[in-house]
Amino acid sequence: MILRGVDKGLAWASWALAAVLLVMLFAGPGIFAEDKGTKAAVVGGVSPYAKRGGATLFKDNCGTCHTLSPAGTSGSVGPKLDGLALTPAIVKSTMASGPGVMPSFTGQLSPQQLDALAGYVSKASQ
Amino acid sequence: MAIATELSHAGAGSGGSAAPRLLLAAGLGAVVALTLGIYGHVHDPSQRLSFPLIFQSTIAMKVCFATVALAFAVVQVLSALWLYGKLGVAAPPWLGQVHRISGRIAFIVSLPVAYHCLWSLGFQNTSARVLAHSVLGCAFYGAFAAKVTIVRSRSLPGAALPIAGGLTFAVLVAVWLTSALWFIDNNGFPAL
Repeated sequence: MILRGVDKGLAWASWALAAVLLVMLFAGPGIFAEDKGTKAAVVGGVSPYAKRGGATLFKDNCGTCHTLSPAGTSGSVGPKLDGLALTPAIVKSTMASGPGVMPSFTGQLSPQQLDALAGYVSKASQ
Repeated sequence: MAIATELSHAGAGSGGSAAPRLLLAAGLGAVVALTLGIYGHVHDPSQRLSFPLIFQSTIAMKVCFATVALAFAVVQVLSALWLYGKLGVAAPPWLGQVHRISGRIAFIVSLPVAYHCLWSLGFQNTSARVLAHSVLGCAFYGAFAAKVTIVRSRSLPGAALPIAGGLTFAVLVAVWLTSALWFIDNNGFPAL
């Protein structure tokens, strides 16, 4: 009897959740999740990130996965960047290639944003 | 045993009416898989969706939920074998409910993972593994839709359901191997 009730409840829950997520695929994830903006508009116009500094760009784009103490981030998916003494060139090439599970940021940020971000990470990782 | 007998009778009496129903199930599965694949390809992924739910990070949520889904899928397969009398022990009366509940839980916990993949990452082909995972992820829900259709259909050959269930399970295993296991292998189990 209990199992039957659980079964029926889960049946409702499964189809309801599937329906909600299906709607969210078209309407956006605003109900349950935070989508930190769409891709930055790098062709024409001004990107919403254009005026932000490297620290803010790092928090928005990298902090979920990487720990970098000066930025106050504690992500554990990717390697800790503290003390790695990364050069701006390495940061840029890594962001472009997206090694392993890390996504490529090609086309996601403007050249100015990449410069700001790479410069910040280079300094903060010393 | 009762289920097996019932399915045998259904198969014997189905005759020519089974083929259209099987085609309908397969067609529905193909439509679901293709729809997801097309959506993932056409949709512009933001790659910035933070969707950790109860976990510390989104990747932890995905690895854990995918693994939980696989565990419940294993329960599905084992309980199905038991129901079909393949384990050599009589199935208890509650096993059918357990079989259904395990399947529902596996489906439910797979949904947030699939949602993040579709919304935030999309259909990608940056490597053989990623391409395989994209194809298999879409195929899983297609196989699942076909299996559910077969479960709810009558007068189908007795082998249809085990084949559909086995195929769905095999695809889920492949999805897990190309994602969660790959991640754990490369990065360790994510902090919860």
